[in-house]
Amino acid sequence: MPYPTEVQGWKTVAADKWIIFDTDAVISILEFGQLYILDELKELHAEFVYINPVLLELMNTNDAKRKLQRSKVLVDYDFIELPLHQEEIKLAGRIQKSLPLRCQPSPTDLYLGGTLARHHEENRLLLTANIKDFPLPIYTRKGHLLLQNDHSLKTLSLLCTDNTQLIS
Amino acid sequence: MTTAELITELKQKDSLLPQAVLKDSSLQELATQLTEIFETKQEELLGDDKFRNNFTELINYIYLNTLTKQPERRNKSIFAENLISFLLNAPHPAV
Repeated sequence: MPYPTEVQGWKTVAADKWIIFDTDAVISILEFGQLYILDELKELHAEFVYINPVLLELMNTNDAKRKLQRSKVLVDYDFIELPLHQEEIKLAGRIQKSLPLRCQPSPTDLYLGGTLARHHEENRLLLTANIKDFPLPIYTRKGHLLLQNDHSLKTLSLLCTDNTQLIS
Repeated sequence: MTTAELITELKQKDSLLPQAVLKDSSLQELATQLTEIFETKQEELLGDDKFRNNFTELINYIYLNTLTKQPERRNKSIFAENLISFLLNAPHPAV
C-alpha cells in the first residue's frame, strides 16, 4: 500500500476527469467555505457529476438556507446527474458482497461505488470525505486534498475502483 | 391556483404551496415575481422567520428544477445575486 505522501498531487489526478461527488464532499467544501477548490477543478477541465441518492441526501435537511446553498452550488458549477441503471445496481450488489463484514456502507455509498465501478475504464473518480466506507483493496486511493479553517482540518479523497477485487 | 394567486398568498405570508401547483407555472415567471417580492418586502423577510423560510424553500424549489436541465440550458442568473446573497446571509431560524 503506498504511503499517502507518495500519492500523486490531486491536481494532476483530477485534471480532465469526471469527478463523482459524495454528499459529504459537497457539504464539507461548503462548510469549510472553500469553493475555490471547485473553481480550481473547473480550471483543470474536470466535470462534476452526482447521482440522485446524493441529491436526496443533500436536500435532507430542514434548514432552508442550507438547502438553497447546496442547490445553488450544484447549479453554479454545472453538476450533471448520472443515471443509475441496472448495471450500476448490479455492481453495487457485487461491491456489497465483496466488502468485509465489518464494513457496512449506506445504500448511497454502495450506489456511488456501483457507479464508479461501472465507469472504471473511463477514468472517473469519486470525491469523498468518508473513506472508511470505501476501503482498500476495492477502492484505490488516487489522491487527497485538504480542507482547513482556523480550527480544523479535513481530508477529501479521490478514489477509483479495482474491479478485479469484486466477487461476481 | 394561478401564479398570481400564489404570489398573493406569499405576500400574505402564508405557508408554502404544494409543489404540484408550482409545476404549472414557468420557473422564469416565478423567479421574476419572487425577485419583485424581495425588492418590496426585504424588511418583512428579515423580520419574519416563517416567511423567510418559505420564501427560501420556494427559491430552492426553482433551483432544483433548474438542475434537471442540461448545463447549457440552465439560466444561472435566474435570480438577482443580491437576493440570494441576502437569503444566505440573513439569519435563519433553527427549524
